[in-house]
Amino acid sequence: MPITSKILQLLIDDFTQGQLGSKKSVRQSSAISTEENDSLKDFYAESETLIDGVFFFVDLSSLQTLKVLGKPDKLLGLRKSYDPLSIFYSSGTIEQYHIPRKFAEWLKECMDAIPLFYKDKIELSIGGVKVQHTNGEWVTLHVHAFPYKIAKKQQNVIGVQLRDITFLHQSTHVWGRVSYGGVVRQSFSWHSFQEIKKKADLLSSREKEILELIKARKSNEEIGDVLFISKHTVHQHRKNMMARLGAVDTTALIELARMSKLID
Amino acid sequence: MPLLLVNYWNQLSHGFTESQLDQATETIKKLNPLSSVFDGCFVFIDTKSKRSIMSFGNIEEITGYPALYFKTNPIELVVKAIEKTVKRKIHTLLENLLSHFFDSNNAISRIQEIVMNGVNISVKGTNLTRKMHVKLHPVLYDQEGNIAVIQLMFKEITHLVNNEDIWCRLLSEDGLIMYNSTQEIRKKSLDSDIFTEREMEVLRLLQLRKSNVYVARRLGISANTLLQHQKNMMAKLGTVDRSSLLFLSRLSGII
Repeated sequence: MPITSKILQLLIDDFTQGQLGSKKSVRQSSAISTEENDSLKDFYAESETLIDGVFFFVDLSSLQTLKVLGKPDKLLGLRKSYDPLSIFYSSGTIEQYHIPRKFAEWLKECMDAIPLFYKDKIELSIGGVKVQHTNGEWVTLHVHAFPYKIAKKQQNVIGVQLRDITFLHQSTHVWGRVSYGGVVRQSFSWHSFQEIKKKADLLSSREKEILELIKARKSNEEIGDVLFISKHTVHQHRKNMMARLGAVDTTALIELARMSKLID
Repeated sequence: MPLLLVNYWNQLSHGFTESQLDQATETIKKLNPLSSVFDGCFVFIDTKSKRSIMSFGNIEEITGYPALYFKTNPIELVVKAIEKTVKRKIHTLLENLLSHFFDSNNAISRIQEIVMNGVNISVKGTNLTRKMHVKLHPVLYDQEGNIAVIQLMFKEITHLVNNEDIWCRLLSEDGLIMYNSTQEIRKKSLDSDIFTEREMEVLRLLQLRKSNVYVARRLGISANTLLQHQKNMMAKLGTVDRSSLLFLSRLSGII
């Protein structure tokens, strides 16, 4: 089973349990679909330039895509009317088949640990999902799923953002990160065939500190001077971080960390 | 004062009445719960009253200016930021572009989009300066085709670009794209596009994560030529490495 659909399935189970069967009909989410004026019909087309990648809303009770923003034709070779979720069912896969299984197990554990109070505040980001473009190319995606709320009633709508990180990411690396309530975080990273790492967060506080300094374009020596460590230690930290996120170089490391909100 | 920006900004106004504008901007307000999707910060500005309608992202954190200040006149902030920019390079850059616009009988009103790359903004309370990617982009038009709502975008690119490189990109109504970079000021030449066709071909293949050897073989050139192409592109955009070149070219809408 493809990775993203499994994750969504798990989310759905949790959401439906949490709401004690109070399933909302699909119609209620029509507040998202457009009711705008003639002068404004193109606005969504315009707003697509604002959004990086593809963004879509999913109704969790029926697993239907409600509204697609962005350019799915560019990213995955799909037409606008095509349901982005169905591509995960049909062709979404990862080269190593055991990764999705491990990932789903980890996610199940996470979901069990989350208190009911936070059930509607879960954010999930996954880096390194591979999906085949219709022209045959493999595209590496960054998936970011988070609850989308217009009104308090609509707790069963999540927003999913897909971003192309093909040129930032190395091929065999996968990682995920769950945060809820804005405080507690759990993470998972897989960066070779045997190795699996489960941690409180992908990067330690020291690594985040160094990453902030790297972002400000400081050299290894300068960072070492500030933090009273040798430049070789800084280099090692940098290498570790790149290995954990599967980044190709330092710029990619910073961008990946920003996408998954590890740093601001 | 950077004349181009101020002139461009002053002559903008739309034919909407207030109620019509409220109706028209309803969808912008609907985007509010989406603010976590956007990278960097966005401000939507009404061109008649010159006040912001809606803003996304953490403005205070990114620019160092309080969010309240942004609501009254955001363009003022941009102009102030430009005035502080190192060695006033961007002034000459903008003024050169402006003179070019007058030469070729292009009115300022025909500018559709302004992208400035590498504008310095000093963060208040610290010694840090941040390099910004600033983009002015029209979002809504009235019936006569005047720009009604404009979108101002900030994104931090400190980690992507070299220290002293600044460049601008203007998009006019004819679809004519004009670029200028700090290197090209010395030559006083304006290219229609920052990259040549060949470079664009290379860039498209690189974005598909093809190796240098593959791209060279596909285009029928040697690997050294390809490296030279990459070097030239990196010098033009002032980026630090290959992945930042791809990222920045996508951000500024070249690909």
